[in-house]
Amino acid sequence: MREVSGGAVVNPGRVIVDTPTLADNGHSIPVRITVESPMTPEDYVQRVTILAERNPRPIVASFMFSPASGRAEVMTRIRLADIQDVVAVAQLANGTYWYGQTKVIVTELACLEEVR
Amino acid sequence: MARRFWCRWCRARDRAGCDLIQPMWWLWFMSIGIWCAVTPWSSHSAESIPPIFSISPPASSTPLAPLGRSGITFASPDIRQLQADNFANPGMLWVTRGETIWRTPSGVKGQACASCHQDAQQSMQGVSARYPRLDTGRGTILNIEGQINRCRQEQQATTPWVYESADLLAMTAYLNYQSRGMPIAVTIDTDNRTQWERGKAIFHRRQGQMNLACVHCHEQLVGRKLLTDTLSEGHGNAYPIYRLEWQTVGSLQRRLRSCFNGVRAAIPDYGAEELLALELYLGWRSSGLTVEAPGVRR
Amino acid sequence: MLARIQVPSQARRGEVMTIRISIQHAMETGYRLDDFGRAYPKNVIHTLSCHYGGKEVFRAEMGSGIAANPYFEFYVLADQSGELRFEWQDDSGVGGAERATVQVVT
Repeated sequence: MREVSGGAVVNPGRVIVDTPTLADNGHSIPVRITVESPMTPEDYVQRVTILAERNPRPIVASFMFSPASGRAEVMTRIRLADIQDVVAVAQLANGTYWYGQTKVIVTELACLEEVR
Repeated sequence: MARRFWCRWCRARDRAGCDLIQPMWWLWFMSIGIWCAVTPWSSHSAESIPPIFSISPPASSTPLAPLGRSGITFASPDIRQLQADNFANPGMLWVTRGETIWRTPSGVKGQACASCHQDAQQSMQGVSARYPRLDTGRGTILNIEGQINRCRQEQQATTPWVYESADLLAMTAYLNYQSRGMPIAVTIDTDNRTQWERGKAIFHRRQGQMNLACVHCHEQLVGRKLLTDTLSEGHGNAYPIYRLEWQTVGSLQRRLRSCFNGVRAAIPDYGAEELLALELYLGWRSSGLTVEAPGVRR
Repeated sequence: MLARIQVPSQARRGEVMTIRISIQHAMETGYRLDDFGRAYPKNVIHTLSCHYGGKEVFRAEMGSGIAANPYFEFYVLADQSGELRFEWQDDSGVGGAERATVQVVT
């Protein structure tokens, strides 16, 4: 997290990570990130980064917003390698960082897949 | 000096006089012999061997009357939402591609599917719901993939598509999508009855290292958990599906082959008669369920 | 590259529009092995950008952590009638573009 914020303090709060607690499959997990922000030219969210600490590449994605976004919210589908916390770090225009996290349980498929 | 014989039950002092042992042995050997003669040494049917887990109900080979439950009813709310959302449903990407292929000329004659079938939304409505059907000319079973390839070879004079190729999946998704919301209407008559019986036998046949039949998981243990998966009734009404595990769209045959691998049985090739007969039986078995193509499963 | 976009055809000025995009792409992670043990080369869409009214209103920089057939839902403030232009590119250099027009009424 410090890497994303460039060493600045990351405050908990303002960021909601909405994702199912028990994932259907680690290959595709819906996640919706909402940041409380008026999105005015004075106070808006500049960037939101999704982190998955146990993934081989922990930085999953980064989204850039502007006052023209209207809402600091994005929804996508991510891959998770293991049971872990999905963390979203939001960078505000005033230079502060905020984060929110949710734990997701990822399981393996029960039956074997076919050998192609 | 050797111990003298003494029977503790009949108290006889010698073997010849022992009332019990001789008749006992005789009875014992006779009963073994009778048991050997009576036991059917050929493979048992799934109905006669009790399931591995000591639970009822008994196996059922009649259709799941009145109607079975589609696999989507066993899925999580996220998957149900994803399948219902016509935009977010990843399978719709294949439907879109199929629509493009429908209009694209192909083959020596430069004909597109649309050249003969015009607008698919009109001409192809309800068609997929009637497959698999019997190919009356050849006496083999035609599933939708087989029909597509038959059209390509005979009408368009071009090469057939390979199973799980992007084009075949796109066309299957597009055609099955035209029947979305309509009930499966696979009919069994005297012509395809033999193949139906064959499919039914496969469905009830124990196979593989795990010695399991389809009926064990998909009729006897429906609703129970296999690790975190809930066992469904094993219907094919949503195919081709976008499976999260595959990260792409796949056909029913791909899923059936996965099941064969799951019980560690020899996996039939794509397009094998065994799989076609099984598809026919499964189609009949899910009669009445609505087509959900393109489905989403985990 | 095949993609589907969902942009409202009409919106009121000041209204927040829901924009959705779905791209067909395998998002090869580079970790998957073939039958011979060789890794399939990594090839993911690394950037997606949306331009509206001459400026970039949304940008996503991603890696293999995004699921196959990437899907995004984001929001854009309806300002002026015009075109929303989407552009994306993957590691192999193949890119895609889509556009849609929105009519903004006061």
